Amino acid sequence: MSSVRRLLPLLGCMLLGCVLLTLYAPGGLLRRDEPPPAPADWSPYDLAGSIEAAQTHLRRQPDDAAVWASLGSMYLEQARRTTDTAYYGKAQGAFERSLRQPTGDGQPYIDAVIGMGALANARHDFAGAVRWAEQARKEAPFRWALYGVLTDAYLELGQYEQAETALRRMLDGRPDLASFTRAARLEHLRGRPGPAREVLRRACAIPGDAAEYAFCQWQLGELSWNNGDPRTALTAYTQALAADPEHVASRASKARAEAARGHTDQALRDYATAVARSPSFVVEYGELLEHLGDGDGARRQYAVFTAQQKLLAANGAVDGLAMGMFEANHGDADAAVRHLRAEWKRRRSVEVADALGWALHQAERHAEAATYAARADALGGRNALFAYHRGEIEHALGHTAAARTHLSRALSINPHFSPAGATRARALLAEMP
Amino acid sequence: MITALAAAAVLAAHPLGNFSINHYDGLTIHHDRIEHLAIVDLAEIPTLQQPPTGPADTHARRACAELRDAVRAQAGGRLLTWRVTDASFAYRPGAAGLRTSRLTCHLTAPLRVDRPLALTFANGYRGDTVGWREITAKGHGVRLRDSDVPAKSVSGELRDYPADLLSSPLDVRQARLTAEPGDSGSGAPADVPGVDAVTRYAGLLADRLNTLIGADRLTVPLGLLALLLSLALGAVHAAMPGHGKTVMAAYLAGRQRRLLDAVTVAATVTATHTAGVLALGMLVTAASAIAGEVVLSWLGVASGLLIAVIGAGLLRSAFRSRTRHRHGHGHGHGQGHGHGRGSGGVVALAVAGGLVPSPSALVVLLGAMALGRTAFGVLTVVCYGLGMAVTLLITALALRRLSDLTLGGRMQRLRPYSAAMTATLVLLVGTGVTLRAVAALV
Repeated sequence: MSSVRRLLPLLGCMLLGCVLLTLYAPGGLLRRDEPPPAPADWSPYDLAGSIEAAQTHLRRQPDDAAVWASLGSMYLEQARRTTDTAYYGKAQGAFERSLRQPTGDGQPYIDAVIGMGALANARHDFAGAVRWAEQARKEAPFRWALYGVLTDAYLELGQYEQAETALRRMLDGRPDLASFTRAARLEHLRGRPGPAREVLRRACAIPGDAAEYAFCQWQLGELSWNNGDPRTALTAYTQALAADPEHVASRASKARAEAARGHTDQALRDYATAVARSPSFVVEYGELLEHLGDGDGARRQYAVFTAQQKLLAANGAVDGLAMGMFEANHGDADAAVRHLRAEWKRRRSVEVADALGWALHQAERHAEAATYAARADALGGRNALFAYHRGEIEHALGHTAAARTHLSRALSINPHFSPAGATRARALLAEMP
Repeated sequence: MITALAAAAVLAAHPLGNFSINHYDGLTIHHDRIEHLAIVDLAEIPTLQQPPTGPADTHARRACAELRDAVRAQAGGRLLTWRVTDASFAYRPGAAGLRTSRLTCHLTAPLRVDRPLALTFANGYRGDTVGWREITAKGHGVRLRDSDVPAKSVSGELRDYPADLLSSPLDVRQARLTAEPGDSGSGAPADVPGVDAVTRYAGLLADRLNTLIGADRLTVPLGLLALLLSLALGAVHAAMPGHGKTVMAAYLAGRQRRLLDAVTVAATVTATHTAGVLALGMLVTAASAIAGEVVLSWLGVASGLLIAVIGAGLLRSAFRSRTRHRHGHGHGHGQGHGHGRGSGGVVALAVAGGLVPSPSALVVLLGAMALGRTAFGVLTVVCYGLGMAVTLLITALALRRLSDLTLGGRMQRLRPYSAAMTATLVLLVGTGVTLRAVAALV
């Protein structure tokens, strides 16, 4: 007995040694798997990492329809964030793989159906998006993402009643960032900036990752900008870029607001950064350059736009609205009318109505232009550009009083709506009796 | 139809769309310089956005100078200074009747790889644009270690981008690696599992041995030198940290105070180790699917468990003898308490010690096999084991002498406990080795 007692310290030492070895030995428990330093602020969701995880999983289990569908959605999100349309093809491939896998009840995997709808929206095939979303609704009416697809599609098609119904379903089921930002857009269209801002504020308060926050702040900025407050807008864009310096839309919008506040050099720098990442803003940039007297620089940007449209056309996707608007302002008015009439057959949104009206005006068909402009302005809420276009058309028709009303309304909504347009509106108002 | 297909094929050329700017940096490290092949592949839109001003070669030179200034590379903490040796710029047909363009720059920077040299590389040229970014690194007459980039381009230097659904565009913006003297020659040694600190320490010696084995003509003096080197390597290896188990065996042998025991231990370690290396070498070459790393880990677990069991056994016998002593049966137990399990336990310990093949011996063997000199490789491994045995013998003898000295004095009083202490130590080391091996497994 006593020998055991005498050996107790020895056994104690041994136990302690074992514990210490396990913990501290090189390759021991404590030295392994130290957590990486925590990211500064944002939720740790990492899109690229999630994509990689899904890819690894699918290499091992290539028949997992659910993961194929979610991979497709992540590619779509990647396209949105990088404004890189090359991801659309990958997203489509992933959704199609998912749709080909038979599920238990013989139905296609529902997230892939909704994903195809979202993809159709991204490619401006809004009627196709409605078809996919309706197919999803038949099978799974409580999958809220489908109402997002439906809302977006109806908004672009100009079917605002249906858009509101779909959005209401979505808001009832899931009040989140996706539904709030859409609700804000609808409120803005209805000419109610106050509720729109309130909804967006709530959306921004929902914790998300940096890119989501940036998107939300950018929307807030756009709202302030459209209502003639470039200072508040600038703050919002700066916040968006602080969260996600890669958010190109905020970069371009910031440039636009800088220009309005007279910080031309900063504006040009920001525009140059934005168009290097995404060619979506070359026309805006070119218009600023042209306004500043740099005709060559502007033409170079316009050439990029034309090339981009060519590439899109070679890819089978035509953006008639952007093309028509560009032709109306910087090219051939008749071509613009052609593009926009074709677009008007496809969809009847206020943006298309306004653009078609403007193109008809540029092609000297003022009377016809006036009907479209009135239609856009009536439904389009408080939109400075729509009001300015309408004022120009009324002026061309010789309706001085109406022209004066619309032009001063445009300037009161947003005195900086376009560098050239605002200057012209002021000049017209000054020369009118 | 045909044009649509052609357009699709051209479009697929740029995985990041037609406004991407794609970068490839190929590094080749020579013993006296580092060469950098930089390729910038501009898709349709950037080609249009930034048309070259002036003739193509003037533009290429200017762009390459800009690129050179954006490269940040360090060797051993020192910033490298680059020189442009060649620059070219060319258009290629792209989608929708537009053009893409390709800038090729050859850069070089002086460097001396006469010892392991840590290299870092980053190319910040037009870093804010969307695009494929790829870096590769290979050695030429220089061996690369711990490189975090591959040696071969997966995009064929931006000519053929992989475009399957399950691959994302590469976005590698920096590289980190260590270059050391030696030959990059056969790839086999680089893939050997378990290359750890031991190899690193004995790295230079092993390199020399590898070059000897890989020499074009193997003469007799050269062969003898190689065998001598492997002997030395084995001796160093046995004295390395992490070989507590072998030293323990030697120590035990010393405790037995019999030279024969020590020789037995040394011979057993050599035999076990040689057999282990040969078996694992054969396993790795025969079936590349077998992950050598895992085999090594499991062998580590087995060896640790064996040592622990022996330790426990020794502890038990120590207890027994202590108890007997208490009861008055003992007379002069201090001397021969361990003898009951004596040689058997020592041999088992030696087996445990030699069970885990040393990675550097494995490297040598695989290198020799890759060159078709298997017999010579086996011979080197045997020499390696002999080297280990020599160290063990020397340790054993030294410890024996040491214990003679100390035990003569005041330490004599501790003698009754020394058996238990030794046994506990063995058990501890065994447990530690097992736990470490298990920790490496999970």
